[in-house]
Amino acid sequence: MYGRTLDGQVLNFGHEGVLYRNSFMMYDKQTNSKWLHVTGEALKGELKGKKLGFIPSEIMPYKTWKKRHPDTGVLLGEKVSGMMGTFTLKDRISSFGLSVGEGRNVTLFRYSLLSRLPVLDTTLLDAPLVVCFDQDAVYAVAFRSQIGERQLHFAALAADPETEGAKPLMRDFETGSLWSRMTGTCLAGELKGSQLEQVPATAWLGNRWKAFFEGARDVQLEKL
Amino acid sequence: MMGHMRSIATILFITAASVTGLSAQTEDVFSEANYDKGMRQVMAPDQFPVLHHPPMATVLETGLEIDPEEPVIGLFLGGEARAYPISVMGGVELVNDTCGEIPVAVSW
Repeated sequence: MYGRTLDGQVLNFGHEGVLYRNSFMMYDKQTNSKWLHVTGEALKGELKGKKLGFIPSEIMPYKTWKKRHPDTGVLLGEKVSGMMGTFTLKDRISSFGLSVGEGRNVTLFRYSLLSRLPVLDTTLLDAPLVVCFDQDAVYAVAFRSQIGERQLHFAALAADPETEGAKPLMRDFETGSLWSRMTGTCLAGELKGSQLEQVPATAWLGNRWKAFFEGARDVQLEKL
Repeated sequence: MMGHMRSIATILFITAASVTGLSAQTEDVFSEANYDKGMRQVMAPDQFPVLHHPPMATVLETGLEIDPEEPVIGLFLGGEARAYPISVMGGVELVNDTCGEIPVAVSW
């Protein structure tokens, strides 16, 4: 998901009909530059080298989204069978991962690993990172694990009465505060109201990711 | 987002893409030896559907019943929440949309 505004200009995109390493290319109707949709980078044309601003989005069951945003709009349109709908929860855990970072520093955190370690403290480019997973929604998200200059370390936690049933949760070791694992918001404790910065990340099918980011860091259970 | 899966759809869609559409494409797929052969034209530009500011409504407005287990791409931006059901997105690769008055490109 990207912002369409670049240097004050709003771009409208079309489908170029080209695949690059099996990922589709788009073009903008303003300059006809060619963009790789998985990175948001222009590979050719007047805007070559420019990158669109990444906007975090989430994939989760409708019931989970609706609970969080009761007045959500819903895209209307004809349903198409297949694709994501054919992936069972088990399939998604075994097949997908969360891709964090870019270029040579991109890292894939496999859902198969995250389903066992739903709160994973790690680093990316020497910056502290926590990768979180919701087993019910089969959804992963990554945050910078620091507030200001203060680095935090987290552990997964079951629901807690202090948070009025909110889950899934995590607790930081430094202050014992309770956090929403999916939004990065501190719900209770010394840091209540604080917000972890979400890191741009995208869910990928593992085998497609390996083909695209050949040789990049692939964190999975059997390699730990 | 999720372009890997969409690419599967694209490849499947090639079957339906007309050969005449491809022949209309004259550019040499960005050259430079087709980026070490990783780049290939599979259909004519604009042959795959892209949505531009598609209709969106709340469930209350439409009385729609959506399967609670249906995976959706959720976007919360500028105080507005939008859900893009995967079952609907299965037919498109890209949406030019606006959320909270912010222009966005929804791809997956």
